[in-house]
Amino acid sequence: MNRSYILGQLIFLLFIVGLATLRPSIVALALPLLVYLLAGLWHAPQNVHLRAERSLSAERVKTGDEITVTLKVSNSGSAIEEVLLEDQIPFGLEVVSGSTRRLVELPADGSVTWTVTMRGKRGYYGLKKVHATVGETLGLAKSGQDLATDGQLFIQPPVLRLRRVAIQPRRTRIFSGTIPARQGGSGVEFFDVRQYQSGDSLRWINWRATARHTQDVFSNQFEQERAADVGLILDGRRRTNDFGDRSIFENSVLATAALADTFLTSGNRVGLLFYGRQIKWTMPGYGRMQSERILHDLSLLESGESQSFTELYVPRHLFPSRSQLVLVSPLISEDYDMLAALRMRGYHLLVVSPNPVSFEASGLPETRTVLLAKRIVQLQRVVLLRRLRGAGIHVVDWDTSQPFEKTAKRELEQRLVLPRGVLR
Amino acid sequence: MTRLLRFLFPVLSVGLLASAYFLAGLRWPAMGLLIFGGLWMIGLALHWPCVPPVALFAAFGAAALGFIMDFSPIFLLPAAILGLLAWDLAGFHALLCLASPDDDTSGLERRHLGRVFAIALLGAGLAALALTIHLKLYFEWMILLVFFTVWGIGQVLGRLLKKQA
Repeated sequence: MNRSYILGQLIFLLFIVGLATLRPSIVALALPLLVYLLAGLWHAPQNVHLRAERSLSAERVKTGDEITVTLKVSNSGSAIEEVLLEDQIPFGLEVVSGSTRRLVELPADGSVTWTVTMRGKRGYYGLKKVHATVGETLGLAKSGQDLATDGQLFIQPPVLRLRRVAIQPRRTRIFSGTIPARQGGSGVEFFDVRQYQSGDSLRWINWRATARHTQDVFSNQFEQERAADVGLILDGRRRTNDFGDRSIFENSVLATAALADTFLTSGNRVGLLFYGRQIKWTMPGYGRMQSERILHDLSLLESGESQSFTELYVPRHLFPSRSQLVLVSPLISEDYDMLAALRMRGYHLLVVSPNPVSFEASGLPETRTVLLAKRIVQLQRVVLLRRLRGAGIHVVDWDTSQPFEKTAKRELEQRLVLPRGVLR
Repeated sequence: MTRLLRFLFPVLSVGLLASAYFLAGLRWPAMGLLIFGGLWMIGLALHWPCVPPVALFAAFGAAALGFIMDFSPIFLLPAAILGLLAWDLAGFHALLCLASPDDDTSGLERRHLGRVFAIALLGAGLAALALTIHLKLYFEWMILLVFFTVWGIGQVLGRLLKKQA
């Protein structure tokens, strides 16, 4: 309750009682209160003009990195006896050192500057205002105002370095890269043997094949390595990611960041489609700038409700059929039809699936019922993954209790050998 | 300093009030006041926000009741003023708790205590003067005074609420 209101009420009450009992001594009792109230109002700040400036040591940082925020509040009005300044930091940021609050006296044309060190979870944070409560020392004439500041902070997911991710889409681009292009030419891996042509290096001559034919000379061909189009699809649906107050979504984001970085480092053209609370595209591109763009967009994403995943639309002009799609999703049974349809359209699919069963079970007590339920759901998942593999989809089942690099090293560095009968 | 005084003033206020009631032969009300003082201390220690305003009303209420029952003003007036100081310091301490370690809290504290003691002295002096010279206020004058004060306080509060909105 407002302090001056409390005082006003008490003074009024004493006057009423004094009047009712006809005792001037009770009215006299109200005099110290009146003096206190008038003194407070006499010193009330009249002309308040505060301005806040904010500077950040960096606008983009990785999760876990510390950031220093410097705030300066200047007073261009009359002197203020007491001002409480509160930097209103959004939920998700935590203060490592320093304080977000200052209680100071600000003389006319004076200023106060302080720094706070923070860190936070992945996300976008708007640091837009500082709240100032201005008053005199008795705290009777207080007024609050929000001082606008410029400031935004992107906390990006950490980027894990993967050595390589073996993908082999049928369609590649004309630029050289690391994806085997199923065409002979200069490269590293043996591809074919053909008749010697002028210009072929002597080192390429296949002496064994040449020795079998008296008239012709044969030379080895190597498989060309080119860049490819890679479309990353990140599944952010709440029903696949969130389990009570725990979410596996951060793991999906981590894997997506690592994959995007690896594909871009290999010279590929990479785009990102997020499917969660909203559908968000990061248009395909190359190089470091694209890597930054994807990390920037990944820092903004949150899991949320969405329409059915079966309505996933992959624009053909950006990702023509036979190019590579990489889906990062915990997967549910209903996803099979959509993935099979994409495969039938000619896309090469790699699915990196953080295992939601082991993730959810790790947060539950190990009772018999839980263990049985875990076994049943795990079996359902095994069946789903087997069906997907049968459709020619490379599925990586990632147990999130293990680091992603370890799983990626084991399952993504080697070229996929599809079972017999599955079309590539 | 504030930390010490915010506990000392309630003790003195309740002690003086209880003494006034006790000297007038009202033992049970004096005991009640002491129990109330204990609750006041507990409320302060546990930072219950409703305790300081309630205690302010109670201290002035008990003092006013004492004046109605013609107890000695030597105990009642200081008790009420100490209640006001206790309420003031409770609010100021809550504000100081929000300060960061880098803030000049001792400077703020010095200025606050200086001003509040000066106000308390002035208020006490005026009240004591009014009680000493036994000003005769006729009923009509009192009504006029009350309406004038209520109007003034209403104006002030109206301005404050407008400013905060």
